Amino acid sequence: MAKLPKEYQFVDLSDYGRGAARFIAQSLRERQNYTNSSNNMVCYFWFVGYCLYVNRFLHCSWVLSDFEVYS
Amino acid sequence: MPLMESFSRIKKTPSYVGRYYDSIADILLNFLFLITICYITNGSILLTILAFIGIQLQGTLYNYYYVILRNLVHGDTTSRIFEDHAPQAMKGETQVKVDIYYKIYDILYVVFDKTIYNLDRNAMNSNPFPSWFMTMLSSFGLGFQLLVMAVMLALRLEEYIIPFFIFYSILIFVFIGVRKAFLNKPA
Repeated sequence: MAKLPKEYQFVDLSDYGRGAARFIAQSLRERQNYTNSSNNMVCYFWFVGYCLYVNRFLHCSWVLSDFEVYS
Repeated sequence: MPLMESFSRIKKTPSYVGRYYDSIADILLNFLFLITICYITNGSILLTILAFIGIQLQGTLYNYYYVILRNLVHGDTTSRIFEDHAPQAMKGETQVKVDIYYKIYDILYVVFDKTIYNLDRNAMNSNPFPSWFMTMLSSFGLGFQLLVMAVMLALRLEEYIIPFFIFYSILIFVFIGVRKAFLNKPA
């Protein structure tokens, strides 16, 4: 559902991520057994951010190996 | 976070918990970005706090006018113009959770919401805002603010990020002035 009726829609300079977001969300939705809520996904983002912080002086690939240790 | 919003829209599971969580995550994200920029540029904490207040007021103004526009033209009303009490939980979420998330939201945003409301109390008595106004105002949205930070970081202009946002906040008064001068409903 769009936030505004068509005649009032405008170019939103802060919403350039919407198209890509919708595409990713749609792709996730199409996976039959995907049951996570959007709020859980925000938590995953916080977690990834935390991993990046913990690994800030290391090479990026270490993040992934660290992720395996944590999980 | 447009991804989360798109996801709940596609799943047709709008929720107040999500609406408040989104805003809580935004303000923390902004704060962490600015503190990081202050740290890497050896900047002043005072100016960083000033930029943070400016950024929050910009975002609040954008949101305020956007929600009013949605209400004026009967668009999506998940966000309310006046967030002065916890709303009734939607299907699929509990009232206790909505109350808790609302309370956290309220503590974090009450100052900014009240400030913007007091700067333009009669914004509801407008004609629907024209698209050129909303497009210009959308440069106050979080997405655009983060883009500015990203571009300035990429161009190695990080020490100018905090001053930029402080000066850019002056436009808040320009937008409110334009709204009051040109977009009021004729009496």
